[in-house]
Amino acid sequence: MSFIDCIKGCFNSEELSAAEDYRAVLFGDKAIYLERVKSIVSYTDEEVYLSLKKGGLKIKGKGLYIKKYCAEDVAVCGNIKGIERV
Amino acid sequence: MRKHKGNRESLTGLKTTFEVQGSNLESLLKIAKNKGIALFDVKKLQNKRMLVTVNFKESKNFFAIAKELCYNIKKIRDKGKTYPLYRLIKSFGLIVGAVLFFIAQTLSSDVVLSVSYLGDGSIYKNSVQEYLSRNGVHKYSRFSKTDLAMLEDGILASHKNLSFASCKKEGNRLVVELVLAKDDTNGFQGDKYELICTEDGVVESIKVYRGTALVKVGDAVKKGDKLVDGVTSLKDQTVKINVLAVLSLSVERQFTFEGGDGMEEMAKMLAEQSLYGEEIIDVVTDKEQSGERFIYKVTVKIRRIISVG
Repeated sequence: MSFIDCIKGCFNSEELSAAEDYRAVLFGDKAIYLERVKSIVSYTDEEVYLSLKKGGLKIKGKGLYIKKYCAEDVAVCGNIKGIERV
Repeated sequence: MRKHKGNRESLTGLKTTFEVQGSNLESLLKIAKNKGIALFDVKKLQNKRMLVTVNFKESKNFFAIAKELCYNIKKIRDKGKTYPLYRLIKSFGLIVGAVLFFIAQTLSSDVVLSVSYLGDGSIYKNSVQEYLSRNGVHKYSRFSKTDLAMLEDGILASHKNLSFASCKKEGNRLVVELVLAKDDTNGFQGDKYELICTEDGVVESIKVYRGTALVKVGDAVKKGDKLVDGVTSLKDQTVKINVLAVLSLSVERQFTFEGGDGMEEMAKMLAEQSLYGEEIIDVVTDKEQSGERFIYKVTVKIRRIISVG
């Protein structure tokens, strides 16, 4: 069980699990790690647009680059200004 | 997150960085990901270019995919903590070659290919060469079987006219440096109150530390001339003092040989041989025809050094 799963367990909410279509862990404003990402729709050094199972996610910032991209995991590094669900 | 543990571990492994150029680079990323290729450090550059790093073992696949999709792709570099090890393995032949070269160099540099002589004591070259041969030092002998320090001592012990001998290994060459011993009394008779010349010559240099010089550089002196006098003036009085002086004299020796045409070098060599052990400054050979024969006049200048005191 991952750390996020532990946290989730604390809430003890089954609905929360059912609604979960992606997971994101933010490391300050320097990096974000996402799971269950479908694909990268577009990518510039100011915006990374990710496609999820339901909808998409925009990561905005400066000097963004994809540190890791494999299977359904994406790690984005750089100066992250914000995350927007679309 | 744990399902990609293998890929995470390979973060510390060997990776290859590519530069890819083309439109819709995201599509390439998606296809590569779907093919199970882990992508790292994806950085977009200008002009639709992108840097992307993949695990070394997947680099061929990624390259093939990019080529198939008509992207311009070129390998930039390999990197990772294990990269030096990878290079070592990859260049195994080179390493073996380098080791073999080192061994060959070591073995070959152990062989004496030539002996060269330096210093004014090289006039004893022939004699020293004989000594070296007697002690097993000759062409193709081994440096490792030669004790250079013992050779130096032996050369000095067997040649009283040498004051210094040094044997050094320079690659495949044995360099023997020889310095002549300066004979303080050779050619001159002096006592502590004066210095008398016993041989005709020209003064090359003179240093008088105590006493009065009676000649200067360039003066021609004859046998019996007083060169340095042990008197000096002190408060209007003439006092006698011990002489302390060093003088270098150029002395000429002439030799005449008779022989056929073209024997200048032979005459020169014979003259030098006659002055074996002397410090030769210059050799001039004149040739005169006398009937069918030739007369060779060889003028040899030698240096004599004296010190008294």
